[in-house]
Amino acid sequence: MRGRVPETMGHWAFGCDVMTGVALKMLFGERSKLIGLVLGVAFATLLITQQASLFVGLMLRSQNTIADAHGVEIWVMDPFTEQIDLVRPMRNAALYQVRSVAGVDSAVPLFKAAVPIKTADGRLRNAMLLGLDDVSLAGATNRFILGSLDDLRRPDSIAIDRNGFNQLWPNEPLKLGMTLELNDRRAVVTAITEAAPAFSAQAIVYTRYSQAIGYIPMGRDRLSFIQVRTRPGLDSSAVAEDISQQTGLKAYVADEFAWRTIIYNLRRTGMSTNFAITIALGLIVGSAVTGLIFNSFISDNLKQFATLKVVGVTDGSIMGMALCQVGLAAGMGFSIGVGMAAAFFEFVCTPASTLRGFYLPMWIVAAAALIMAVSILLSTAVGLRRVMRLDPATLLRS
Amino acid sequence: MKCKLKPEMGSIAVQCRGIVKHLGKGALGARVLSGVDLDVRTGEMTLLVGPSGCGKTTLISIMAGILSPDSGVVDAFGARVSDLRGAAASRFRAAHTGMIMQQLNLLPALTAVENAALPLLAQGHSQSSAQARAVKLLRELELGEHLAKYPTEMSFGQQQRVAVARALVHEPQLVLCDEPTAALDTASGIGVMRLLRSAAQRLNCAVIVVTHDQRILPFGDRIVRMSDGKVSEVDPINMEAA
Repeated sequence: MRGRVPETMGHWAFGCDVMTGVALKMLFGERSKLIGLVLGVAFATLLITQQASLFVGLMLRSQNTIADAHGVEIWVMDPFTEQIDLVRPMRNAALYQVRSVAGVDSAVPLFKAAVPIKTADGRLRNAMLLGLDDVSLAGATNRFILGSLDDLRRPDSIAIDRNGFNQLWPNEPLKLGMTLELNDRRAVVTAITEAAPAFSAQAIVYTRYSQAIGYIPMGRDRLSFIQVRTRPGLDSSAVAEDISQQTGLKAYVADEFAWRTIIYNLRRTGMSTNFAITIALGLIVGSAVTGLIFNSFISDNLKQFATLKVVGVTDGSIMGMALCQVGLAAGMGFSIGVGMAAAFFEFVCTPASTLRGFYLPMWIVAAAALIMAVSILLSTAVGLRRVMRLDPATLLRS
Repeated sequence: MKCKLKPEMGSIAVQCRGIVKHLGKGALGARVLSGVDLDVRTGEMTLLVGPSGCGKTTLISIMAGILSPDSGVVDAFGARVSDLRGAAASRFRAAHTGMIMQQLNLLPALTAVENAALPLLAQGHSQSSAQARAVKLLRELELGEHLAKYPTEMSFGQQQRVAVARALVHEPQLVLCDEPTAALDTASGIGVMRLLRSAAQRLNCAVIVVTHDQRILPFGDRIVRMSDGKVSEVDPINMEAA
């Protein structure tokens, strides 16, 4: 009984089912309603995707130091250390204990501490200082903008990340040779990295282990972490377990340590709770607004659907028309919302900004699509139920 | 599409027997129709008159398969309309009935042609053939200058003629009108009634007009008076109008 649209109802309807063409005409014919629908979905999508991405980005930042340590398979630490930013130092002897475990190919020390840094003109910032093994310089990022890892072998040399450089010398182009003070000790910038930003976006400074412990006066326990590579062909998890059993230290493969750090921040910091509340509000408000908009869209069109029933359009066709209208408006709104979120991360979270490293993960886009689809379908289903039960005689009685 | 056979002039188009209908539930419920018997003939214009709430609109809704009676039967064009439900009722309406409502209910996003073509689209006609027929009819109704206009761009009288076109475009055998002249001045009201009379004769269809408008009574072939949910009186054929 249904035909095809050959040439009329506008080019956009070409090739569509005839009643689909009518549905699209109804949708596009009432621009204010359409704009309301599309913008409602767009902003709900923006709210959900942007807040969720910022939260995920923040949690990922907390483990960036682990993820950025190039070539490290196992992290060994004091049994009381729970995450990357909360360190209880170990004695140097621990390093030799770990090296003695079968399956360990190499084990190198890592010094990690917070340190104030000061420029010659008095600008003061906090930095995360990472002291790498003097010989291998293992465990640093492999993304260098200027200079190289080997430049750290020079006296007083440090590598600083782009964000740290911009904080210390905001109006200067990236360049080497700048001097600064770490705890009143002179340091020279010999390399600039693109290290992944840490949880609180402070500057990230790499130097040699021997130089790093000179910057921070501490007791005899100075070893923050031991970074391990396993022998080729061995299972890292099994080697980590052997290290734990034989040394009494904690040893985690890099992925597990990263997750433990994320989970620690999720459970122990108020920030994650606050963010989670914001995201939950975004989800609730976004899906509720979307649901209400679509429900009211269907309600507004009830009279028109009743008219179609009166002229003999079947319930199935009317349902198809309503779903077509809702699907198209939702698709347009969702695309615009995701586009706005992507633009935010593209243009606001630039490499030079403090929001560097935040991005829009595809799985969040997919999850947002699912959430929006469910809320839209639920609200539309409620509206469609009214369409199906709609008594066209109401038109005659009105 | 099945080809519709035109019934003989004056044969029974719709037969209602013992129609009972309640509307509303509980304390708000009311028995609107209390055993209505009525025959409607092809080629005739039947005016359904009576006080508000006497069941006129409910009766034509049942004839169109929009409402189902609680008891009683409606037969029309070989179908037991009172038993039709869902898609079958929709198909019956699409094939056999045209309706003109008091509020017109034109779709605001569709032009005059597209509104008028809707019943043909519902029947499955192609867009081009449906619109060609709609254009032809709208020109006959002197709306040739307004084919591409939207309802909000037309006067109420012009919209009324678009609604008439929508009711007649698919050449239905039964045209049901609910207060078609209520919002029109005398001249426009008479114009609409002439159109409907002409359609009844040209298409040999049965036209039922629910009305309170005393001005249009001369146009009816028969006047059926209703009160308290029953047909109280059927006036003889209005010879002057015929």
